[in-house]
Amino acid sequence: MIDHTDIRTLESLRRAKTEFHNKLCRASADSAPLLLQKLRSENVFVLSEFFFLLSAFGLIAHPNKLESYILNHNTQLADLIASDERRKLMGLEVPRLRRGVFSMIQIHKAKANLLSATPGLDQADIQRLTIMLFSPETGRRVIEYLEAAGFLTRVATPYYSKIVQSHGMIEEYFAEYLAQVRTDVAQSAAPQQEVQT
Amino acid sequence: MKHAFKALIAAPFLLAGAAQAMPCDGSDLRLREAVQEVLVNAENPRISGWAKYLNESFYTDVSCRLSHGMNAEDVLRLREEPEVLIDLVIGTHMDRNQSDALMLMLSAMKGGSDEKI
Repeated sequence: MIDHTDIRTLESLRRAKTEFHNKLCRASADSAPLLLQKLRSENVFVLSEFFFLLSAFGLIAHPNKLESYILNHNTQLADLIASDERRKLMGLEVPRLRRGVFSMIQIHKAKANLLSATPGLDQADIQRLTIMLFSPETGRRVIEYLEAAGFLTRVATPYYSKIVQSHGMIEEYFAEYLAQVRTDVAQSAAPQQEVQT
Repeated sequence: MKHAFKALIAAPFLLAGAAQAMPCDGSDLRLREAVQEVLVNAENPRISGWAKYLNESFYTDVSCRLSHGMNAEDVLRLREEPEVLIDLVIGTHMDRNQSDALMLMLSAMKGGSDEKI
């Protein structure tokens, strides 16, 4: 017996995610096969979600909100470092989590970066904020893929940091992905006839 | 120390298990040498002692997996933290689901967005 609602929900999720990656590939400034392959990776999807949320919550526009977010992030990491059980459940290790903790100086720098002539998050800060998602090295690579595709720009500063600025396309595509899922699922939520197989 | 030793025991098994799961982009000799240098010269005698017994194919496998996220310079920066390199060796090839971490991230951001401007 097939539950058509379940199948249609699954189809809409898959379709929307495929369309998200298709949009990235079509809009990429570089169509090299290896780059397009990277743009289809799960890590690109996850980092796009990160940028979408930063924008949706207005965290880049308001230094106080960013500070509050970073403090919450630090608290989460401290809790995970202190909790063997939760950490093991998530498959994370203490040395990696420690690399994601912000010092107070780093928090002040992150806030100051939002007020500079080229406002944005430092690449190192993004790597810290995404430490639970992937290692800093993987994070840097994903940022590089998105930069190569023309979705992000990294601005080198005199202080040897790189400010990452999004052009807004990945956030827009991610919002469209969510809208498509929402629309499709709402349409499929109407009672469907069950079919005996 | 405890983490490093546990990771040491686990790494070869995890690497062997994932050997066919992730094809390598290409052999990077510098990356392979960097991995070998960091592990063989580790201050922790458990790591350096263990590293000396490993053969070329082990280092090739490890560098293949790391090449998806690192280059030789990245690896050499971990000279003082070979435990982190071992953690990365384990972490980079595992396709762990990120939903749990994404939920935590969303929660932290949501809390931040409540902050008064």
